[in-house]
Amino acid sequence: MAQQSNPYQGVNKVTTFQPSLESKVSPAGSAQQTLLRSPSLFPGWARYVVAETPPPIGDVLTSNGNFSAQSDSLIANEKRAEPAVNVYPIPNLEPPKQSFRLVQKWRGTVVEIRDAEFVAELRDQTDQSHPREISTFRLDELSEGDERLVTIGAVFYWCIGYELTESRQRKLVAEIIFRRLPGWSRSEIAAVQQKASEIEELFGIENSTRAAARS
Amino acid sequence: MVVDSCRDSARREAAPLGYLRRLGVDVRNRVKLLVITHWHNDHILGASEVFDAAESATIVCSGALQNREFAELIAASAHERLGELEMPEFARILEILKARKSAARTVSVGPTWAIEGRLLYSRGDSIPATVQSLSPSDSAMTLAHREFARYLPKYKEAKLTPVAQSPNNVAVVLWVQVADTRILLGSDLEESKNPNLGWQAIIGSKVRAPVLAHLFKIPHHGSDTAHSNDVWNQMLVPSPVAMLTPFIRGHKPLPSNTDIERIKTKTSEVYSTSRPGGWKPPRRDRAVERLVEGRLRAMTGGVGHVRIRWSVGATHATDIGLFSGAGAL
Repeated sequence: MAQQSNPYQGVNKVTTFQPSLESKVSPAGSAQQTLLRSPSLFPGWARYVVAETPPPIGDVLTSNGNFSAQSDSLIANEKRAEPAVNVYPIPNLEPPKQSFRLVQKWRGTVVEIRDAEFVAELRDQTDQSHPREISTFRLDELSEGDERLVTIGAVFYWCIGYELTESRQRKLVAEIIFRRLPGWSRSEIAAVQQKASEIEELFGIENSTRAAARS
Repeated sequence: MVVDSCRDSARREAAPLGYLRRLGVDVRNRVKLLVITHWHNDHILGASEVFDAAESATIVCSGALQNREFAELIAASAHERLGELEMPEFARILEILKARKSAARTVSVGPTWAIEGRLLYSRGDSIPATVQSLSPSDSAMTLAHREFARYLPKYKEAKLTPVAQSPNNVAVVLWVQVADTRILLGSDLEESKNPNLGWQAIIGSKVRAPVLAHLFKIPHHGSDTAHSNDVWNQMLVPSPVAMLTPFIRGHKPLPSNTDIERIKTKTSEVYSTSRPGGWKPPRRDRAVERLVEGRLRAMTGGVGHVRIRWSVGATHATDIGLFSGAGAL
């Protein structure tokens, strides 16, 4: 159609026929909005429309900003096309995961308990050629709730190393971790007793039935 | 004869094995007796290595271990890696026993159970020698059942490492006589007010020969809980040659200064395998050392060595050698 002048002066038309649309993804948590801009408007015209959903092709944007039904005479031969939406994701800058680099580790066995502390024999797990060592630990050094695990014969690990925090700080930390094993099961006790019977036979000890009363 | 064992960390070997080999002893054929006086880690580490090498040796264990409870303790510890070093050591000894019994490579593989008054070894050649166990007593063996039973697995109960808590009444005390020289090896036996336990049981024993020892291995690292005036007065010559090995029990180093003063009133010749009082921990990463400064003490101070040589017929030791940190107290 010949367009010597602008017959649509006063009317803004949003065309999506091969449009170039720019969409803006708002920050996470807010409703997504689509910003439409059509470069095929009449020379000198540009219109940005923020809409919840892209408008159908050919709708005419009236001067008050509302869409009205399209005019057949304007776009009868225009084909409907799906908008191509270009999305440019913003890189998600997640904080680094915490990490721990072990420097020294002992396996400890509680051998004595005093009022607010306990004594443990330590076996170096980092260098097993080192002799056994002994140390005293305060109960308030333990994680909350671990005091109940302190009993003669209880096993724990004393670990020292460097912790890399989420804010990328590095610090030397020490942690006491008590070994939490499930209690003896019946099948485990049965296996132990079977093995004990083999040992008795090797030792030449008469079998005893006292063990049955304990399980 | 080898009595107990420990590990030489520096040489990464069982200390008695390394020592005998460096002396040129044919361990395979010449070691006739390996005595494990009790199950504590400072007396048993490396024992399986010694036993494996000493193919002609009979192994001797405390009669207090000859019960179902101890067998279960070994089995339970192996099941969950509870007794980290002691029980696995026993487990390895058992494997060796099993292999020898099935192969029938030796005449006697043991174990022989040491009890009060039992003759463990006798030799009647040009240099006669006997080895007799003076403990454990019958009462001690009964009590041992109860101690082991505390650590046995019980349904739904926590899995704990066996830790010796009660006074040591089950250790094997040895009386050794070579020609006219007599040696009292005290192991870790402790004193008890009960006349049927500990050193009192030995003093009152009817099977003990009323003769005096020239050489004394002081029991339980010189602690006051193992001291008995009756032993010094009734079983030892005046001012015998004595020796001990220091240790740390709980938070307390043994022997303490008080213990040393007490022992020195009994004899002027007492030697220690290393300096008592605890030992510095090994060197580690500087950051670790800053964090644990002052908290750690090593429980042993390396393998010091007191060597006492006594010629046949001599009335006193002919040579006392002190090596690797050993010294007179």
